Amino acid sequence: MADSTREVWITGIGIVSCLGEGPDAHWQKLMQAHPDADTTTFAPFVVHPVAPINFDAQIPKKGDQRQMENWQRIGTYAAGLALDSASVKGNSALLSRMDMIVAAGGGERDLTVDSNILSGIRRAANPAAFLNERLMSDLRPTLFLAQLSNLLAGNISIVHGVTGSSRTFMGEESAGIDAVRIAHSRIGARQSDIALVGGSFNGERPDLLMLYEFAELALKHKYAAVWERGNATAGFALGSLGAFLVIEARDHAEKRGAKPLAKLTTVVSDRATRQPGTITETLSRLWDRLKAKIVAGHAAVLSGATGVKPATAEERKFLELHPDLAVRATGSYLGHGLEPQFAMNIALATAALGHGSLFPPCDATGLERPMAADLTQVVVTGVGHWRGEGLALIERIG
Amino acid sequence: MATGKDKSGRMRVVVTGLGVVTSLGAGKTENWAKLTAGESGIKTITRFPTDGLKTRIAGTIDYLPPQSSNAALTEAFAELAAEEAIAQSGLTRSGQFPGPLFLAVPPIEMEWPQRLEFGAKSGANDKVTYADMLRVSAGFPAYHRRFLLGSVADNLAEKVRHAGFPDFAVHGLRVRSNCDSARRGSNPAWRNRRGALHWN
Repeated sequence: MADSTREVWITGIGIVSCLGEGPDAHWQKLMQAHPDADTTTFAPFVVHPVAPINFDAQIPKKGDQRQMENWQRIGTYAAGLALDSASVKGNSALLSRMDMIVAAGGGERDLTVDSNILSGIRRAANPAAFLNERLMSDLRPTLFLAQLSNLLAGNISIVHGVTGSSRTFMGEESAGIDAVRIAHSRIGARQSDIALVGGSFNGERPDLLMLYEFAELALKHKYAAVWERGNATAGFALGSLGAFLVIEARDHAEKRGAKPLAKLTTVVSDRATRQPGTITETLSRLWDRLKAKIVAGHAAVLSGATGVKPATAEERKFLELHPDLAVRATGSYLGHGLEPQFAMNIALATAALGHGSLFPPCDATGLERPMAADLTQVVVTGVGHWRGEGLALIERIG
Repeated sequence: MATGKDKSGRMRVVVTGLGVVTSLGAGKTENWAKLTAGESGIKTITRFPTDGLKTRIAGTIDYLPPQSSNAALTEAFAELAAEEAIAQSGLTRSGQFPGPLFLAVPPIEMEWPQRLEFGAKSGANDKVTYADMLRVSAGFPAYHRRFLLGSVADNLAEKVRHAGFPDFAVHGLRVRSNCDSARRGSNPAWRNRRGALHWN
């Protein structure tokens, strides 16, 4: 069910990105309206590297940190921030029945090992044997564990003690959308009372740049805001992100005296065939499922647009059907982080609702317009660069 | 029974279609016949060289046409098993598929043939780095599609749709690879593991 009779509240958010950590740091940077990106480290590719993190603050054991790759450290750290924000950190009775849904990508490659193999294999008498031998002897034994997609959830369990049910979804942006949708609907259906949901992504990875460069989707040479990416600059800048939400049933939150940050009213998702026009049609159909709740003049859209053609152009068409909604594409600031992008935008929506206002536009094309009115509702969009669409409605409480 | 609920008021869930593909063979009939005859599917690995590996046997599926990647092979298994399950379910192929698709698959990534291909394309003389490969990676969109984590589930969805569920992908489908590390309540546990032996 898209909607539940049981209200679902957001009671904790934990976010990490190039803008820093936590909602306040993000809000300050968004209000300054000066997006920044790294155009040199992976030149010609543009990326948004994660701000410096003191991992010890959320992952105290060095041994735990060593067993993780960066995407897992970022995620475990963000999960800890979310638990702190919800005031449930260390509450083992509660954490033992907290459900977890994680959207995860694949493991990071050992770039040195790959490079050594590619360099040496040309001189090998038996290339296949050479490859096997090098993989058997050069890969760190811990890498195997660090590469399992469901070990992000595993590490969160180990480090933070979240030990209710655990699910990991894979599949780029739509995995992130469905993680939130399913956590929300399970609480609505009384199959769960409280859940930790989100994901993480390390955008500073040449192996992933290669995957997206295959289809020429990785932003090159010059930074541009999402809506300004035309033919020469279509694509996304990979962005390192960690984003987790603690969501719980209203009755559960009230019983433990938790402060609600916002209400997660509706989460809907679909999969357009991606024939021309189908993204706009699909978003319109999803919109029909929440439009009755929208209060004109007080709602805005936080878009997860990537800057990729044709997905972003079709999302823009949908947004232009709703000129009364102020729009902001957070990818202009954060880059694109695939799996955690949707949860990140729900967290930023929660922060905006907390301030009761929207941050300034960052778009010379005119789609993003200033919004002066009191902000009470945010619709988050997720349009996968290749597949998957979703919308979430987040509302101010009280 | 008539209410569709159990004693605790939970929805009853029944299985209406099954499909299996294993090292013993494709389909329930062949698998059951071989299992009950005491046959093992474990055999010598022939799909890739095992020189220098400690393990040279596995439950390999070696009766399908060769595929261009592990991801493509995974997809071929999924397609066969899904076809058998849908056929047994008796769902008519004249309307929308009435539910979501959950698929458990191993993580998918670019594989060694591609790394070797782009290492060679890069023309790097001595040391081959990712920066070298990145210089020559543009213009291979089929590799992007193939090595997305969601690709197997997504392609399976397309194939089922083309097989006769015309609206399959419009409303009825959620494509997800799902790996659970715990089981709770009435939800199925899906497990997703990388094989102990894989071409890392």
